[in-house]
Amino acid sequence: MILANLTTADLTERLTSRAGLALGIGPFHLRLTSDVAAITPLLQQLYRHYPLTDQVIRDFHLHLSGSALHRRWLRPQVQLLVDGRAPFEPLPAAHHLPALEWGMNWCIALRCNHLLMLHAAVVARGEHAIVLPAWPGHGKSTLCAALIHSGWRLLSDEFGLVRPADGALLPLPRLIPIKNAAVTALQTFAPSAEFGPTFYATRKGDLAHLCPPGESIAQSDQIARPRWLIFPRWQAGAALNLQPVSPTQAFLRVATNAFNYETLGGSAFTLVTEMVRSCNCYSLTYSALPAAVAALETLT
Amino acid sequence: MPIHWRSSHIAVLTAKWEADDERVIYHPASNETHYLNPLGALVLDTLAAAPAGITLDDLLQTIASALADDTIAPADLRQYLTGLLARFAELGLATAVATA
Repeated sequence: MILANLTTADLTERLTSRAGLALGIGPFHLRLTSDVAAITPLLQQLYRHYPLTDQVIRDFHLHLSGSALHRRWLRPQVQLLVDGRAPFEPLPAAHHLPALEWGMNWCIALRCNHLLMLHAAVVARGEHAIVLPAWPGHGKSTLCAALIHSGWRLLSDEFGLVRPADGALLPLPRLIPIKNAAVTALQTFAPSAEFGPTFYATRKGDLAHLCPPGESIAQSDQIARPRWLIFPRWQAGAALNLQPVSPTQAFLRVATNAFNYETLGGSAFTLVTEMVRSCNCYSLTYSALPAAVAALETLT
Repeated sequence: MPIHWRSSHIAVLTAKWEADDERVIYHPASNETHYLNPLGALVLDTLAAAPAGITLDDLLQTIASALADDTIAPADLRQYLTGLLARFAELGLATAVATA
């Protein structure tokens, strides 16, 4: 059963009940409750493909809370609670969905040290994956979004999850936050791309969330293997440039880009070594999505 | 007493690839990962190949021979190796031993 099977009344009832809305997102199970009415239609639009889960043990318990009565008219706010605690400052009430998404990122980054977490997008065809590690602002999410509208399966936009036992990449298909002018670029590249509303003046600029494809979510239990390591960098007006990267330099770029490389120590070293060994490694500088996607098609 | 330099014989993990003379190693005791440029990798290999240790003079001769580059002045290479060995010692990758 997926979220789309719930009526609005059912969804609202779950969100406001103690049991909450239990969702499976990749390898994680989360329980969400909320008294913010505005989040309900966004969940119906952007989370409609996600499976409802009857897992008793949940990885994260999230509560999205609106303002107390006296603040509803004076700069209303939204607060995300994680396991009953408030690790974040409240945000403007209009930023409810970004608050939820950032909170989930925080939960994953802090609590999933049983996996190697790369700051990387991952897309796949069959079991062969492109891993796209990049620093913020280098166009990783935008390129990832373009690829999933070009026949690639979304495994991850933010967290490339590597299983220590065998180096497999675990799918974690989530909403993809697209910032500022990249929204227009993507809408031009892929008119069928489905976005949620734009949230203006967030701490990361104006952003809109891209709905992940239902097929990618339905295949969340299908691992992939790293085959190409691509280090993307978007630069306004830059000519397309695809250059091989030496294995050693690729290693360094992956390791310094991981969230928990030092925490995992020798295990992370071995995983990154094996990943580099099994991949062809390139840096990709681009300014136009069609050319970047075409270059990767040629490569793969 | 001459000073001999030895590899610390620690169980470092090494990542190296064909056609790539750079290297990355992991040092379990410090939980640190180190990048070695080609010369650093060559020096560490030379130390590892001499379990009894090697003097700076012998190391200099071995490395100069391996590099086969007349443009590098011996004094410059000696200075570089001296700094590199000191750095290896700081990182726990090499040890200086005084021998009779």
